[in-house]
Amino acid sequence: MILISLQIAAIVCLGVYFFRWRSGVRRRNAQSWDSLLARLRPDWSARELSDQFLWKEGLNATPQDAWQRMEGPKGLWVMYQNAQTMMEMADYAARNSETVDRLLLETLRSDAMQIRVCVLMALAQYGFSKASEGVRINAFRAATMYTGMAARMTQLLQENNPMMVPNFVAAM
Amino acid sequence: MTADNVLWVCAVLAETALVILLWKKHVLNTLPVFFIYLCWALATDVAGYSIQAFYPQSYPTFYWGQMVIDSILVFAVLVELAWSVLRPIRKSLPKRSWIGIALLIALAGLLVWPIAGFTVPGKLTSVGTYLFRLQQTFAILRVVVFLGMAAFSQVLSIGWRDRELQVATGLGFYSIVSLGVTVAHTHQLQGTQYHWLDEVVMASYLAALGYWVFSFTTKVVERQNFSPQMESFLLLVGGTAKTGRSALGNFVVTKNRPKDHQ
Repeated sequence: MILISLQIAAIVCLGVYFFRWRSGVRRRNAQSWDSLLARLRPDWSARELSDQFLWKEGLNATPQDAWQRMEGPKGLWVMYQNAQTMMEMADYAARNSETVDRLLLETLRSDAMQIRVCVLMALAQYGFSKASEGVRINAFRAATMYTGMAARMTQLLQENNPMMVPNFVAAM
Repeated sequence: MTADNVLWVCAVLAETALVILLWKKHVLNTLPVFFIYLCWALATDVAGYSIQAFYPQSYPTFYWGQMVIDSILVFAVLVELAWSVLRPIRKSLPKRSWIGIALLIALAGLLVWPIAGFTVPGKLTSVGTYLFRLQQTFAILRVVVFLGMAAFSQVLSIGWRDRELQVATGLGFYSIVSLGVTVAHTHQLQGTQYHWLDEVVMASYLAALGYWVFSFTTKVVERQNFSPQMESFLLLVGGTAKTGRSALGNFVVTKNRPKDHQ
C-alpha cells in the first residue's frame, strides 16, 4: 500500500510539474515587449569587464581578470538570466513579425544560448573545482558575448531613444 | 449501450474531426508523423471494432500487430516533436541532429525496458507479459521524454510555438494518466476494477482529442505590435554573434599559439 501511494504521489508531482511548465510557456508566449525589456536584470554591472563597457564591444581583460571583475558566479548568473530575456525577445520577434530577418533571429538565439551553455558549464565546473582554468575560460567566453550585446543595446538606444540612455547606462 | 461503446464512438468521431481539421490546417507539412499517427489511430479503432464484432478469434493477433506499430509511431511522434521544438536553433545544429535525438530516445527506451519488466504481474501468458511490458515501457518513455524536453527547453530557454505546445499538452496529459493506470495495473487489481482503469485511459485519450479539436479550431493568438525600432534593436543585438565568436576565436588562437610552436 505504501509503495502504490508513493508511486501515485510521484505521478501527481510529475503532473503538477508538467502543468506548471505549460503555464510558464504560455505566459512566456503572451509577454509584451515592454515587460521583456523590464526583465533585463540591472543588479549586476558588466562595466568592470571593459574600460569602454556599453560603448565599445570586446573585453580588455584576461580570463583571470575577467573572473574577478565579474564577481564570479554572481555575474555569471545575471548573464544567464539576461541571455534568457534575449532569447524571449527573439521569440517575440519571430511570433509578431513576418519581415524580421530569420537568420538574424537564429544568430541571436544561438548567441544567447551559447552564453547560457558557457555559464552553465562554468557554474558546474565551479561547483567542483572553484575558479579553475576551465571555469575562467567559459566565463570569459560568456562575458565577451554579453558585453557585445550590451554595447549594441546602448548604440541602439542612442540612435532611437536617446532619452533612455542615461537610465539604461545606470541600470547596466 | 455500454460505457466502452460510448467511449469508442466518441473517440472515433473526435479522431475523424481532428484528422479533417489537421488536413485543412496543413498540419501534414509541419507535423507529418503526428498526422499519420492520428490517421493510424482512427483506422485501427474502426478496424479493431469490426474485427472484434465479426472475427473475434483474429482479434488478439490484430491487437498484437497494432500495438507494435502503434509503439513505433509513438516513438516517431516523440522524435518529431523534439526536433520541432529545436526548430529555432536548428541552423546552429548539425543537419543530422534528429538522428541523435532518435538515438537518445531509443536509448532511454532501452533503459526503461528492464525497469518495466519488474512490474509485470506473474499470472500473465508469455505474449501477455510481452505486451504488458511494451505498454509500460512506452507509458514511462513518453513521460520521461516529455519531462526531458520540458527541462531541456527550460534550462536553455528555448521557446515553444503554440501548436507544438498544444500537441505536447494533449500527449503529456494522456501519457501521465496512462502511466498512473499502468502503475495501478501492476498492483494486480482484478476484473471490474482493472477494466475501469482502462476506461480512465480511454477517457483521458478522448479528453486529449477534444482538447486538440478545440485548439486547432481556435485562432492562434493575434500578433502584438513589432515596431521598426524593436526590429533594429534586435538587428543590433544580433550582430554581436559574429563579434563574440571572432573575439573568442582570437583568444583561442592566441592561447594555442605557444603550444603550436612547442
